[in-house]
Amino acid sequence: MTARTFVCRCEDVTLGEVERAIAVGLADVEEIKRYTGLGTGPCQGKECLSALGRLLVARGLVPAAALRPFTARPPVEPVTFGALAAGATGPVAPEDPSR
Amino acid sequence: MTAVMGRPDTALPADVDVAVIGGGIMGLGLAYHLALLSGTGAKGKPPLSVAVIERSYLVSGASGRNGGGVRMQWGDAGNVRLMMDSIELCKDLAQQLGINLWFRQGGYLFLARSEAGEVRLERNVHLHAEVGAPTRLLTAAEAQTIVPQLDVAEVRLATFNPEDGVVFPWAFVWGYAAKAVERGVLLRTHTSVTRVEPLARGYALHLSTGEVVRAARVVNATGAWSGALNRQLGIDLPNRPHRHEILSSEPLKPFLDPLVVDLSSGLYFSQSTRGELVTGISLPDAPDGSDESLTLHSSLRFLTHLSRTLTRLMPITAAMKVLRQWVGPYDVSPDGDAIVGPSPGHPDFIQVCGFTGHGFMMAPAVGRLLARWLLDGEAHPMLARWSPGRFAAGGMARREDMIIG
Amino acid sequence: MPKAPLLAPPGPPTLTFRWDGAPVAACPGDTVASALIAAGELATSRSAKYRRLRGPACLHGGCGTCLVRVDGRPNQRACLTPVREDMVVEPQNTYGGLDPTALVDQIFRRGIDHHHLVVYPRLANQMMQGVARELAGFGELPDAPPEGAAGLFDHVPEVLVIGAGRSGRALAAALAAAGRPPLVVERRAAAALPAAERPARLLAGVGVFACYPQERLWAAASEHPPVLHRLRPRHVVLAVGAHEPTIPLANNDLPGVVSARGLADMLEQTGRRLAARVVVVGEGPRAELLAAGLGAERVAPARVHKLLGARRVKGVQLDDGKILRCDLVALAPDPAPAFELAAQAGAPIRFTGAGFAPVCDPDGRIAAGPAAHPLEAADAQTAPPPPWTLWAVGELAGATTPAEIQASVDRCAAALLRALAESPAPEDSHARA
Repeated sequence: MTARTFVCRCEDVTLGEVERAIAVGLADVEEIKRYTGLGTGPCQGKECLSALGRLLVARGLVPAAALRPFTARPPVEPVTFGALAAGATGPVAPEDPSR
Repeated sequence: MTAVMGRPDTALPADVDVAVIGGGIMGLGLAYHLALLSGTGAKGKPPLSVAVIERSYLVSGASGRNGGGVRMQWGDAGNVRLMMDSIELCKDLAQQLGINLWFRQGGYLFLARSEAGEVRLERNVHLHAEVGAPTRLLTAAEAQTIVPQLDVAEVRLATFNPEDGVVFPWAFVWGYAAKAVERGVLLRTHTSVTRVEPLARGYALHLSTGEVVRAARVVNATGAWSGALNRQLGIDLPNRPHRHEILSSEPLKPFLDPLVVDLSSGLYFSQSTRGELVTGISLPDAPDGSDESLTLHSSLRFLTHLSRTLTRLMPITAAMKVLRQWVGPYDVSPDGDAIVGPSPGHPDFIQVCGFTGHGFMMAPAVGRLLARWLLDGEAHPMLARWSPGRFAAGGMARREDMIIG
Repeated sequence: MPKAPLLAPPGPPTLTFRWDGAPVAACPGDTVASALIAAGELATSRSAKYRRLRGPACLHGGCGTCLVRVDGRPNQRACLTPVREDMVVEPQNTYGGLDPTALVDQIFRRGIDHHHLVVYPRLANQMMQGVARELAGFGELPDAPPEGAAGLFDHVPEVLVIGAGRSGRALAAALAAAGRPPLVVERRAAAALPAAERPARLLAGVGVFACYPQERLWAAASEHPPVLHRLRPRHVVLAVGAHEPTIPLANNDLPGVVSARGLADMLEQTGRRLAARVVVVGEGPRAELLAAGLGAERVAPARVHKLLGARRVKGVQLDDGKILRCDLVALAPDPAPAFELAAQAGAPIRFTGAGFAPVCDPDGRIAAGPAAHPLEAADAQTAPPPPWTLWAVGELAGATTPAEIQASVDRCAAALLRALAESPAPEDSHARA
């Protein structure tokens, strides 16, 4: 087995991959997320986001006071289409809504 | 080694030939084609100096928020031809740009559940045959052989085009950016244009950093945010921003090849290479009115409305989970046609806006034809139709009724 | 070959379920994760890219690697799924013990840059994309749509407490003692909570998944049966605790590398005892406390060269070459507050050094502020003022030790009761919509 250090296990993002993204000029949490895929898997960043934040601050790339997380998109817990469908109350569908 | 895709500290000269505002797929696709065409020394002209200015990070706007569908199934011959060009370009674009685009031609499956929808699909198939697009009519049962999980009880007719497909949108932006930079385009990120000042010849762009860049020609490639820039110059165009919501599900093993569209509800869904269902739907909302009010908040109403429609059409999805929802802005033009070319009263302020939610799939073709026009004045039938002057001239005509989402 | 058990049962196992086709014994109170770890079954899936074995890690419903197929439903969290007699649990994204895709990890020793992998020539690129598509994804399609009647409920509680962990239960008890019992929503099943501490008004097995300030509501759902809850409270107390972030160590993904806190909580909840050698990796008083509670040796992350093992963790190799043999490695990082719901509600978010947290006053009251990212900042600002007051308590409010958590609960409860005293107690409403 190859020795690898993971920042995001969901999307198999290693420390080396985050460092490569930093090396090509990415320093914003949002853009590193998009370029590496970090935080886009089943845990949605619960495991990796703070680890990335610590790394960026430790490297002096972002001052701690300026560091912001990536947008905490809903849902924070997985939710089924079946449960959500129960919440629809409006008309079923507009008829051929071409504009 | 990954190429540099623009930086917040890219040095910009005081003067450039072309300044592109907006580092989305339109701006970067255009910059790439300008560099490609002018950099080869074609027709003995010197290379053009091109700067692209992006206010945030790459893929922060609509280019990073769309569903990645690419189709030639349109209702108007001009759009069908344009998209045939775009899809042809997509076939070896990964090799040209040196980055995986995950372009997969799994087809688009359109479903009609009403008589009106049926009529549209029949018309499309005839039109596509004339233009040379391989779309075919399917019965409900045939549609179900392509997507076995569908409940086709209400489906009256379907069409399928195997050349249509899906892509991973972000990589297009990074690919165009990296190749444009490699060819000398200056790409500045995390910098906004705060003021556009008309000069005797060209414009002065005042940047959020305090810098001023003069450009002989300026391209407004800011999509849903374009109105604010236009108003600074007194350019009055009728495109308006519109929130469009979308979501992706938990990743599952491949089960769905085509992108499916239900005409009656505006529901669309496809499966990405990573296995997520990517899906959105029309909500009966009016455009937001002005770009100052353009917000990107997600809603429960979207989730519930989409989920009801999706689980009725494909019941197995009721047991699948939503992973993430987000919002992207459509840049809606009143006749559904894009707004591309010289602005009324400002021939050197070029619009490439108003793509009404379908700019991403058109961008490969648009970048090339617009670059040819900017460099050599080469005409294209769509450019006449997309003229920003058409609204004042009373030349607005709705030709397209296959705008989805 | 049966594996050596790692956790001793609290009594004779009385349940049996099937794991990957073979029977596994379990006790009432077990989750799928606790029963599998007890049985020495640590790997539950392979990862998407490097095809490495993965298993339950955070034991807290936070991470993404204990997802298993349960009775034909994909991607169920093993650590949150109570064991039931005869349930059928299967691994995901793996092709059995001799999975040929495991070679990917060996072949691509220097890593996979998926953006630039086999771009040329076009034909090879297309083949690569086909293979990638098959190896990505995770579970297979569900066997059937969910059973049970779908439903929609509207709740208008005076106080909504999100989370029935230590701080949520304590806060609910304090409010109930003052005659203002809150509605508590907890994603775990009621059985996972200590019976004596269950709040009087409890929605268990229901996860609050979002705040929608523009729609002026909070949304929660259960999966079985598929039910959606819309909550319109006047006060919201976020008692959602903290995530256990990963510690960047070589091979920190091996099956058997778990969260020390998750492991301690799991032992408490199931009554199981450790029958395995554990090494805790972490620093500071919290890590020391967790190591003492687990009776485990502790090492600082900076001393660790790498974790050893192939199909599961076997030991910790230190920088000086010394090897600590073990069956489980328990990571004890500084916890990262679960800030996500607060951020959706428009709370200003700051970096604490360990993670992100909402800005709150000493009582836990959160004031609205600018949203996280400038592009989406306008959203929070254009939303109408929220009809609720937002509070944070416990780990979300920066408390880490039990004493600090209790102090945070006491201050928040007192302040909240003062706020409630200014208005008469309204009737809560709960209705099927």
